[in-house]
Amino acid sequence: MKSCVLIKQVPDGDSPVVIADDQVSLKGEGITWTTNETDGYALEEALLLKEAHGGEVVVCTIGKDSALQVVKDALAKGADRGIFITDPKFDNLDSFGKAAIFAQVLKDENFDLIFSGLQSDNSSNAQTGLILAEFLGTSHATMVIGTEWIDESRIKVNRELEAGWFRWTELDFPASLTIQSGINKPRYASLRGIMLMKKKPIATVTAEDLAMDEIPALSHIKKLYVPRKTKETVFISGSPEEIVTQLTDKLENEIKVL
Amino acid sequence: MKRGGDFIVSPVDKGWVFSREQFTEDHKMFVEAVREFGRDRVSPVKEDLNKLNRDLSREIFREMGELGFLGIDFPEKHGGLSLDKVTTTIVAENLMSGGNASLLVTFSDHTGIATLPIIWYGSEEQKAKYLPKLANGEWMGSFALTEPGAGSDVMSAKVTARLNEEGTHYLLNGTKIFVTNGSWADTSVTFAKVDGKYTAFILDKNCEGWVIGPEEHKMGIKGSSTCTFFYEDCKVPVENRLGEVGQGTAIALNVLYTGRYKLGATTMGGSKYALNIALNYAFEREQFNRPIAEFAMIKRKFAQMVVRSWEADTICYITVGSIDKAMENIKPDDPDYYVILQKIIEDHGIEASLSKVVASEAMAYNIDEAVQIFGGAGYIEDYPASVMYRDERINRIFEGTNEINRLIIGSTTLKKAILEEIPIREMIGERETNWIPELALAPEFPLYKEAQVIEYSRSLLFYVLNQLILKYGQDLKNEQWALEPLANMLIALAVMDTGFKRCRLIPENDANRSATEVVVKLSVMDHFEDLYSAAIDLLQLVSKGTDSRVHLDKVEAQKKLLDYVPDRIACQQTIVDLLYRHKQYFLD
Ligand SMILES: Cc1cc2nc3c(=O)[nH]c(=O)nc-3n(C[C@H](O)[C@H](O)[C@H](O)COP(=O)(O)OP(=O)(O)OC[C@H]3O[C@@H](n4cnc5c(N)ncnc54)[C@H](O)[C@@H]3O)c2cc1C
Repeated sequence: MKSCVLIKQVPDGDSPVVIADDQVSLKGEGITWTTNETDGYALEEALLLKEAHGGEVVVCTIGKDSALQVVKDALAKGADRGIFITDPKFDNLDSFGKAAIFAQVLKDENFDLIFSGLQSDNSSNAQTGLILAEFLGTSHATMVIGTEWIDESRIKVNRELEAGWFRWTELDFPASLTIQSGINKPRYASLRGIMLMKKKPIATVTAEDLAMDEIPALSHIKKLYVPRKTKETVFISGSPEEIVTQLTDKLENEIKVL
Repeated sequence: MKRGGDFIVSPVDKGWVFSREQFTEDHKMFVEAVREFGRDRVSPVKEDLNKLNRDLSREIFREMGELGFLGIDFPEKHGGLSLDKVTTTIVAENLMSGGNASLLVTFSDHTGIATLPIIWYGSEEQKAKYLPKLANGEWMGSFALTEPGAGSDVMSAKVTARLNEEGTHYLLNGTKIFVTNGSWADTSVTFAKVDGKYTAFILDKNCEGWVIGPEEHKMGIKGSSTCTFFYEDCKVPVENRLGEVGQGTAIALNVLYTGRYKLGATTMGGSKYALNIALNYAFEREQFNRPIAEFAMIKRKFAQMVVRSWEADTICYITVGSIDKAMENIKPDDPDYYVILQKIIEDHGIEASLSKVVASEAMAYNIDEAVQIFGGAGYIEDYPASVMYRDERINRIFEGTNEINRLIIGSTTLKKAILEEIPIREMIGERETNWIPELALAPEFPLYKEAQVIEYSRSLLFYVLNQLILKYGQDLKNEQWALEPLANMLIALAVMDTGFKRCRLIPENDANRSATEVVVKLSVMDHFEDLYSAAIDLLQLVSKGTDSRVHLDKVEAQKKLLDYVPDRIACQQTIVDLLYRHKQYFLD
C-alpha cells in the first residue's frame, strides 16, 4: 500500500499574531512554527496502517523554506520520503490552488490513500483534501475518526457526523481521507528516528517543475485585520412585544445583520 | 577548550568554546523532540508524578527508553545510541519542559551513576545481560554508595563482601542509605569492602538477601523513590563483581564526575523553567491596576534570572562540548574507548564541578525569586513555585555537596598547577608584571572593557594563588578557609571567561548577538565583584600578622588602570525589555 500524507506548517497557537505590511499575510518574526495538529494524526494513521500492512508513506507539503522542517519531522517519526513543494509563486494560495498543485505533483505517484488533516489551524478551510479528491478522481471521506483495513483495494472508515453521531463507510482505493484529531495517539520522534531522517530522500518541486501556466484560485484574501472589540452593552426594556420590536429594529437598521 | 581547566589559562581573545549556537541539525531536532515529549506527555501528569506513583513513573520511563532518551551513552551493540555528551545534556535540559523534577531525578540517576559503571567497567557478559534492558527502560537502575557513616566521606564505608566457601558468591553485609530509585530499581551498582579493598558489584533481583527498606519521607522530589538497602548475607554471584577487587573507589569517583555535569544540565533546564513560570504569572497578576511585571523591582529580578540561566547554560555546554571535542577522533568501537573517555572526563573534573555548582545555584536563585514573584501564591501548594522550591533544594546536596564540589574545584586546580598539566606556574610569572595584557581585539569591540576586566581578574587570581602557594604549599588543599574563596574566584573567572568566549563566537548578524553582549556585561559586573572581594579576603588571610597593604596597594593600583565603570541598571533594563518582548527565556 502506498500512502501520502499532506502536512502543513502553521504558527504555534501561542505565537504572536502580527499582520504584515502587505495586509494579506502575517509577520514571520516571533512566530514559532509547528506541524498542523490534525496533520499529525493523519501521519500517525498512515504509519499505523503501514506498520500493519506494509507499504510506503510519503509526506508532502507546500510552503516556504521553513516548512521543510515539517517534512523532516515526519521523516523522523517514520515516513519514508518527502516531497517539498516550494516557490514564491505558491505563497498565499487558497485551498483550490493548493489542491491543484498537489494534484499535479501527486498524480503520477498512484497513491492508494491520501491522508490529510481535517483542517488547518491557521486558515480552517477544511477543503484541500476534498478538492484534491475531485481533481484526482478518487473516493473520499472527511472527518475520519477511525479506519479499518479491508483488503488491498478497500478501506472502512468511521466518519464523525454531527451531534455525536458516527457512521462507518467503505471506500475503494484510491481514496482521500481527512483525519479528525483523537483518532490515534501520535508518536514522538525518537532520537534514532531523527538520526535516520538524514538518510531519507526529500524531493524539492518548484513552479518550474510543474506544467502549470497559472495557479487557479477561487478566493482571494483582500485584507487581514484583527476583529474589533467593543464593550458596549445596550439594555432593552419594556414588555416582551416592545423588546422584540426594538431588537429587530436594531438588528435590521443599526447592526444590519437581518 | 578541550583540556580541562583551559579557561584558567587561555585569555579571552584566544581559545575555542562550544555553545548551543554550534548545535548540529540533529541536536536542534533532539531539542524539539524532547521538549514535545516533556510538554505533551509529562506536563499534563506532572502533579500525579509528584505522588510517588510507581506505575506512572515506570510507564513514562519505559516510553523514554523507547524514544532513546535512556540509551544515549550506551554502546550501539548493547541497545544504545553511542551519541555525544552534548546530546545527553540536551535531553536532560529539555526534559524539564515537563515541569517535573522527580522524574528528572529518576532519569538522571538511571542514565548517570546507575548505568555508567556497567558501560565503562562491565565485562562483555555483564554488558550483554544488563545494558539492553537498561537502555530501553524495561529495567531501572540505581547506585548505592552512601552509608550511614559514609556520606561526603565516601571511602569510610563499612559494607563488607566475602567470598563464600564454594567460591561462587560474594556475601554482602551492611547498609546503604538514600538510594535513589531504591524501591523501583531492578539493578543496583553497589560497593563493598573485600578484605578491606573497596569493590563494585552489580545487584539484580535474583540476589537473595537484598532487602529494600521503606521509602524515605523527603522534603521535595516526593515523586522519586529513595530507600535504604540492607544487605543480609546478600548473595551476589562472582560474575557480578564489577571490575577488579579494589577498583571500587576509582569506579565511584569517575562516574561521579559524570553525575555532576548531568546534574548541571537538569538544573540549568530548571533555572529557565522557573524563570518562565514566574514570567507568565507576573504578566497575569495585577496589583495597583497593572501587571506586577511592570514594577521595576520585579523587572530587576527577571534581568538577573536571565543572566543566571544564561551562565548555567554556557558552563554546561562548554563542559560537554569540550569533552566531545577531545573524543572527536576516538571511534566507539575502539577497544580503549571507555578508558580514554574516562581519562578525558576526569581531566574535566573542574568543569564537571563547575557545571554542578553554577547551574544548581542558578536554579536555586531563580526559584527563590520565582516564589517571591508569586507572592503569597508562591507559598501555596496549588501554584507551581512552592513545589519547585522544595524540589530544588536537593540539588545542592547530592552528587557531592556544593561544598565538596568547591573543594574539588580548588584542589584540582592546585593539582593541575603542581603537576603542570596546564601552564599555571608559567602564567603566574607572566602576569606578575603584565596584569592587563594586549588583546587581539579591536578597541571598538563592544565588550573590550569587559575583556580587560576578565584579564585583570585572571591576573588577580594568579597573584592570589601564588601568595597562597607561598604560604601553604601543598597543604593548601587542606586549608578550607583559603580553598573556598579560591574556588569562588575560579567559579567567577570561569563564568566571565566562558561567557565572553561564547558571545564572541556568535556571528555579529545573529539576532541574539547584541542581547548576549548585554548579558555578558551584566554577568561580568556581578562576578567581578565576587572575585575581587574573595581576592581581598584571601590576601588579608595570607598577610595575617604582617602588613597586607603591600598586596592591596598593588591590586588596587592595577584595578584603577582598568577605569571600569559598570552601568548595571541600563543593562538590566535592556535585558528585561527583550525578555518581555519574547515572553519567555529567549537565548536558547
Ligand atoms: C534524596 C537523596 C537521594 C540520594 N541518592 C543517592 C543515591 O542514589 N546513591 C547514593 O549513593 N547516595 C545518594 N544520596 C546521598 C547523597 O549523595 C549524600 O547525602 C551526600 O553526598 C551528602 O552526604 P551526607 O548526607 O552524609 O552529608 P555529610 O557528608 O554528613 O555532610 C553534612 C555537611 O557537611 C559538609 N561537609 C562534609 N564533609 C566536608 C568537608 N570535607 N569539607 C567541608 N564540608 C564538608 C557537607 O557539605 C554538608 O554541608 C542521596 C541523598 C538524598 C537526600
